[in-house]
Amino acid sequence: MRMNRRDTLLGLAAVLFIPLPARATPADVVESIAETFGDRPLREGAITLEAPPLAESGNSVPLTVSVESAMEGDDRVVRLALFAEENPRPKTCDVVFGPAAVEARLTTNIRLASTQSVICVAEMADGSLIQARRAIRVVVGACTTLPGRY
Amino acid sequence: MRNTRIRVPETAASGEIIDIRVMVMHPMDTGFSYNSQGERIPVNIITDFTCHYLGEEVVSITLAPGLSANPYFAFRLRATESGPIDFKWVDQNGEITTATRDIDVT
Amino acid sequence: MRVGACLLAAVIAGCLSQTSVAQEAPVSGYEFLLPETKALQDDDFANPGMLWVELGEELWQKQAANGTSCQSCHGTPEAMRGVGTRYPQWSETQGGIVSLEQQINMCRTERQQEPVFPYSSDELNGLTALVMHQSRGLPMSVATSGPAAEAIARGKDYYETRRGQLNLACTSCHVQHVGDRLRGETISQGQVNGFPIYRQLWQGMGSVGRMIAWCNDAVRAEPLAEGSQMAVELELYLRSRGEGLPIESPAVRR
Repeated sequence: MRMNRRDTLLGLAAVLFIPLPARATPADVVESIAETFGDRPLREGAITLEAPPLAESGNSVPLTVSVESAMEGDDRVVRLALFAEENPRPKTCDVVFGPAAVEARLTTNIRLASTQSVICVAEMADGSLIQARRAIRVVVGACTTLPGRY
Repeated sequence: MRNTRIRVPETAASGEIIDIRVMVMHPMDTGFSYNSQGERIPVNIITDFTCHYLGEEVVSITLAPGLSANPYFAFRLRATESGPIDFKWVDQNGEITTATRDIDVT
Repeated sequence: MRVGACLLAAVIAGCLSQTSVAQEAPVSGYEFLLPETKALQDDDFANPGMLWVELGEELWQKQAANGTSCQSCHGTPEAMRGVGTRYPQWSETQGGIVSLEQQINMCRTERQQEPVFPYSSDELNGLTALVMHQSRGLPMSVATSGPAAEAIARGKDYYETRRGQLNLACTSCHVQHVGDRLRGETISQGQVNGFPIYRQLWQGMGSVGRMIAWCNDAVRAEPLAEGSQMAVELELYLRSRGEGLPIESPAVRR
């Protein structure tokens, strides 16, 4: 059976089609923040996001978030969330600091689908929201872009 | 009960701020990867982590697939009295993993 | 004069017939990592591979139905120090090269009367990680003479043969382009002194067998089944190629 050129190209396209997760748009991130904290104004605040400048695997990027706060009264950090601006699902984690917490600080490993910014939004005891962002470069290796089948 | 790794100092001075490090074995599948048969692996994550000290909540974390596999957390608390530090993980199916470490505060 | 010309021809022929590039001194994959990944491997708490070493410790003591456990025959895991440097090795009873995974499963079936752990299962990765971890810091030194020599020759031949839709041999990257970049990644020598590894790409553990199958898939070649004779002989060749490199199990790689 001779395949004509059109069939070959269609077949090739079908074989190569790998559904990839859609990237989030800035509007999706705003929506995610609003879903988490409600529609309240954000202002820049004293949040430090420590991360390596270059991550060699998007699957695990070490990140330390800490909010400069005495953790008392209105200055107490009640909750914070970490958003990856271009991940398919922007929100990576939601952290509530309970009464026994004395520092608003957390270290974890996050996944980044590509070079992008990480945004931290923190809620203070008086209901105000502060935010900070940090750009992290994620390196893509040729071999490690393959879908992990094996 | 999943395998966990926990690092808590055994002793601390009263008022000292101590580092807590925890990790639990879990693939945290995002739902975006495939197995060797070409089938999509469904989302499978731990959804909640909490830490309590002397019965009071220190942190309570809601996890999403955007966190790496074998979720690792490091945070701090102030040692005030000797007693238990309790850790609890819950996955999306409600399966619970718990662990406790006692700290001796002098 | 004629003798001289013959000798000269022989020398030239000898130089030209060298098909593979001269192997430089073995360098661990560790040296090709960014500082954060190196730090993760060096951190005995946060290294995710240690979760499997701990799982291995639990399984080491677990009693089978017939009352045996790894511990009941071998003692504490520390007694395994040095064992990891020798595998894969020739087995008289099997009449072939066996990998550490296969040896563990042989103990499972023959000594414990228990079913084998499947390749790349958490249990098998855990026990392999535990045993290899005991040899951390010791140089790999598999036997290369005797019955192993033929197996190593076959493994070397596999390593140097082009295959797959991309028509690449292992040497195409891991000998000829070491230190070059594949997009953002620096190509390593493909040494196996860190196995079983925690690989960030897999977000989990992998044996040498898993890595071989992955590399086959990467060049769109038919993946070697883990535990097949060719895969085990290839692993033996890889370990002989990296002779002297210190074992780093469980290593962390991209």
